[in-house]
Order: sequence, then C-alpha cells, then structure tokens
Amino acid sequence: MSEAAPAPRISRTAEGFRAEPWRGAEPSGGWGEVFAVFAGDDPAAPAMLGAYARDGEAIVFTPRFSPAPSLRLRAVYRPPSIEPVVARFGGVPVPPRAPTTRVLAVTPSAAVWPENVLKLYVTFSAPMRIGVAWDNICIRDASGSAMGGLFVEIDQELWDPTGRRLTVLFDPGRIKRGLVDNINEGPPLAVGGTYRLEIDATWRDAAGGLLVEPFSKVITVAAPLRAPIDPSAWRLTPPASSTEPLTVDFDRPLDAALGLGAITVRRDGAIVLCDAELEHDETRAVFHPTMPWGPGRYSLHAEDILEDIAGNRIGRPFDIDAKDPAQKAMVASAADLAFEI
Amino acid sequence: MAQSGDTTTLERARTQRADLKSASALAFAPKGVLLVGDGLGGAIYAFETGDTSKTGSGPVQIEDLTGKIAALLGTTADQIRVPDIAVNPDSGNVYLAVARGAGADADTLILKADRSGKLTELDLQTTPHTRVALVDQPDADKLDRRGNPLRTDTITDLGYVDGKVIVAGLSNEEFASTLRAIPYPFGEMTKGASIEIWHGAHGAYETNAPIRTFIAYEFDGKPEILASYTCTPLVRIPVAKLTPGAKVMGTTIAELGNMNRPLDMIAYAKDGRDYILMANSNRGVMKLDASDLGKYGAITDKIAATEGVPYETIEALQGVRRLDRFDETSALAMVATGEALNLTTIALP
Repeated sequence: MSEAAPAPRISRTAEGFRAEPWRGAEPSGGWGEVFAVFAGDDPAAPAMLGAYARDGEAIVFTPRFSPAPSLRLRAVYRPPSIEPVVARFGGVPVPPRAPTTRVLAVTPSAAVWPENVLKLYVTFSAPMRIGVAWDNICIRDASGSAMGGLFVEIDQELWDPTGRRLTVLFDPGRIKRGLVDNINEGPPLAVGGTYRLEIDATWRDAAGGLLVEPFSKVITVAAPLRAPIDPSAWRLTPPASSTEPLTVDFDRPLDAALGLGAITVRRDGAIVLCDAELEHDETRAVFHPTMPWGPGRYSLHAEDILEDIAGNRIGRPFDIDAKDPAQKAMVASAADLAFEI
Repeated sequence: MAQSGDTTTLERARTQRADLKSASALAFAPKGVLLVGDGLGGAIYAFETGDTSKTGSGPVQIEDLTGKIAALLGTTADQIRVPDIAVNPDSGNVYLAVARGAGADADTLILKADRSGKLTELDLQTTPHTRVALVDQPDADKLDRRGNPLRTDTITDLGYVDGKVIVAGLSNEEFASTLRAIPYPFGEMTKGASIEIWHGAHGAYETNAPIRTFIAYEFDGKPEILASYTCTPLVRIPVAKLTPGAKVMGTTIAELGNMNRPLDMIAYAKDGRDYILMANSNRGVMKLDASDLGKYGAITDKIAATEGVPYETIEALQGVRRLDRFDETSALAMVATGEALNLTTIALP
C-alpha cells in the first residue's frame, strides 16, 4: 500500500522558497510550470526570475535577487490533480527613514557666475537616486518662474561612480556663439540677471530617504569669460616649510573637478602625492604634501584637459573665432610652472 | 597627454563572467553580437549571443515595462531603469539594458524580450564575450580621499559601422569628450582611438562638440555616421576620418529647431525613398526626408531655426525615449506615458 502523500505546502527559507512534495520528474516546460513566485498580485506580471533545483521531494526556487522586504510575494504551487496551493510572504512595510542626506556643495561656489558658465556640480553627502535629476533641479528667474531648456538633460545623467556628485551641463547650444539657439534664445543666463538655483528636498537618496532640506543658491551673472587660461597669470606661493602647503592663486575660477584632477605637483616627472583643495571660490589650489617636502626643484603640472568654469583651456578659448587666424591656430596645451623648496 | 581613455586594451574572456558595472547603451553587430557600453566600468563588451535565427513574427508590445521588470527582479518599479534597448536584427528579439537599484551601485543586467513579451535574462556567465577597456586604471592622484575615482565617461550611444564599433561618450568632467572607433572583432590594440570631434558654427566659431547619438549612413557608397551633437545640429562624419588621434569637424546638414535635442535615430526606406526617424527631447518624433541627404552642403551661414534637410513632425508619436529598427516596416519604441514606460512596435511612417 502506498504511503499517503503529505499535504502540499510552500515554505520560505533563508535563500528562497520550497514547494513539496513533488514525486514526479521535472515537467516538460520546466519547474516554473508547477512552482512560481510572484511579486504582487498583478495577473499580468511575470514570475520572479530565479534558479530551480530538486531537493529530495521538494522543488527549491532561489530568486535571482533577494526580493525587497516591502513586496507582498505570492507563491503558487500546482501539484498534479489537486487545486493549486498559494502562500503569501513578505509585505513588511518599510518604515520611513529620517532624512540624513543633504547637499554639501554646489560649484562654482562664487555668487557671481559668468554668462557662459558651462557646467555646475552638485555634491551630496550620500549616494543619490539616479534618473530623477531633471525633476528635482531648476533655476528660477528673478520673478520666481522656473526656466526650462537650460541644461543638457540626458537620461543617463552624469554622476561620479559613487553617485554622490552630479555634473549638470548648461546647454552648449545656447552658450556656443553663432548657433541658432544662442542667437534666438540667448545664453541660459543673461548678464546682470539674478537667478536662484533650487534643489528639491523631495529628491530621494539611493536608500530612499528625502533630503534633510531643500537647497538654494542665488546667482548673479557677469560678463562672459572668453580668454584662454594663461598659467603665467597664476601666482605660486611655495611652502614656507617642509610641511606647509603649496598655494597657487589663479586669475579666474577653475572647473571644480578639473582644478583638482588636472593639476598635480611633480618632481623629476613623478607625481608628488598631495591632498589638494580648492579654496576662494575655486580661484586657489592648496597642495598639502602627504610626506614632508624635500628640498629641490618641483613643478606644478597642469594637463591640457584643464578647464575654467566656462570651458576655456590653457592656450585655447572655449569657442574659437574661426575668422581670426591667431585664434584658429590656438591649441590647448599642458603647462609646467617651476618652483623650488 | 595623460587623459584617461588614451589607451584601449583587449581582454578576451570567454569563460569568465562579464562583470558589467553599468549598461547605458546597446547595439548589435553582425551575427547576433550584442555590444554593451559600460561607462562606469570603462569598457565595451561584445556578447556572442548565438541568437541568430528568426523567432516568430508579429510585433512586440510590453505595457508597463518597468513594472514588469520590477516583478521579474523582485523589487518595486521605482528601483528599475532601462537606459537603452536594441533589436537583434537576426532574430527579432529585443534586448534591454536594465539597472536594478536606485543608486550608482545598482545591479546591471541584460534582459531579452521575445515577440510574446516574455522576458528572460542574458546569462553573462555563459555567453561568450570579448571586452575592450576604454580607460586606464585611474592615477592615484585622480582618486578622492577614499580612493574612489571621480571621473567617468557616460556612453551615450554606440554602434557597429563598417567593421568598427563607434562609441560616443560624455565626460562628467571635461567638456571635450571624445569619440572612439574600435575595429571589431576586437584585436590587440595599444594605442587608443580617441577622436576629438569639432563643431563649426556656421563658419564663425569652432568648438569641441560631444556627440550624443548617431547612426550609420552611406553616402555615395561610403560609410559615414550621421550624428547629433549635444548642441543639436545634425552632422555628417565620414568613418574613414575616424582615426586615432584625429581632430574631425562634422559637416552640419540640418538644424532641428530651437532647443530641441535628438534622443535617438533610425534610418529606413519606404516607397522607394529614404527617411530618418528621430526621437527628440522637445519636438516629438521627426521624419526627415533623407533621399537627397548627400546634396545638403555644409550650413555655413546664419540660418533659420530649421534649415537644411526637410522634415515633418509625427504628431501621433509622443513620449518616445528610444527607437530601434524592428523590421522592414516597423520600429521598436520605448515610450514614456505618464509614469509608465511601454515598449511598443510602431509602423514606420
């Protein structure tokens, strides 16, 4: 006499889900025909992806990803000849998180930006949700109206690898002289204007929390910055002792990322490791050596990718006047400024 | 020049799992080879999917795409992004780049949708692939204080053109992003294919001009790319000019209307004429008459907002974020409708 089959049941384990008993072979259409786990009750939704295995008389399903705890999961087991068994798991509401993330900085840091400012960076204290930037950042004019069409709103968004720093490009079609949008619409920001950059507190961080508070910054707009960067206008203050920093004052604000990333201190061609900071609204770089400076000759090396806040490079402006032979011959170059300790 | 991206190195990995850190652009090369642009990982992958025979017929339609993918991956729709889609021309199956998670550390995977709308995952463990690294390991001085590199290139588009994989990227730091043209199959390369792309604004000003999206196009039997800059105009660039270290000026053949940015393009022929269908940020979907594309010379003088190649706006198509050619008579579109994202097949207009 055959042993009576135990009642079919579904259980949840640390890794996944088990349906038992199953005594036959794997169905021709795969285990998914008889055992599937769904996220939610939408009948049109597909079953969760995952791997199936046989463990004695149990079918074991391991989801491809650990399901979000807030999801109400529905597991359906269809043993032969009897009604399907349905079990529900999860559905634990996620308690709201107290906001902890804030905007740490917006650069350019200065209150006055040139008309042809090319980009801005927003740095957050924690990784942010990607894909919603353009709903949460805006610039308002003096009347408080949100201005559209200012930024290059690409779907992928330009984040650093940690998701903490967002790069926002102003629309180059409105900055580049001679383009239709520049002629018809003018530059994004107009000389003499006052604007307010706003970042909504409803922008959630990657963990789901709101920002602690909204961020705003008032900007007034000054004449465009069109001259190439000229390192001969920089002022180097060599360190006063072996542990004091090297200070470099620029004649204009540099791009906040490249001002740090594209300028290094070198000795005999090798990089001298420093903790560098930009100060005074990105018009000064301070290089703190990680080891005391030894006496000798050094150079401050600026790469040819260095840009100021309007995209001008060393030896080459952002937009070159093609009718001016001198400008047309300009190429961006690297620069080395020697100093001695 | 110490700019990262100067070197392109090859890694053949047919047995290792492909460790995708991101997938922002997809395209197909011949024989079912799926190209994936991983900007965060600084690499291009070529997956030999083996998916090379026609499977079924009829359109692909997936309503509430992010909701369906969320259910598949055990999460909520707000944790799903679909940066790009590509139709495998050999099989008609649709491949989707998917990020699961809200932040930069989201899991990246590639899903495949068949004509019934069934979604399965491309196994990155077992699918043979090759990989080309676009960037060197970042210099120690380029790291922040916690040792993280801050610079990335977001790959905004890529495609296979005349034996090369063309990669358009946008840096999150310097404006003058470069285009790369990498021979495929990937070979042993030491010197990279960084190309500076320039834009001459009507003969008056010249600027660096990152390319946002492009398609392959033949002019008089010679392969070119039709590209759109982040600053809007449609330009022609001969593929033969895309050589390592080159500085290339695109030839502007159309302006596309004020403050309008092309998102994606496809080329097709209908009733004996050539057209380009273009999804835009502001002006819906445009159909460009491309029959005489070759005759439009460089636009060098100050021009009206919409000069050059003639076009019409297809009013019926709204919210189109991505396009790909589906078959001879239809296109696949990823369409945003309110909060929902749908995948739908549309008749070529």
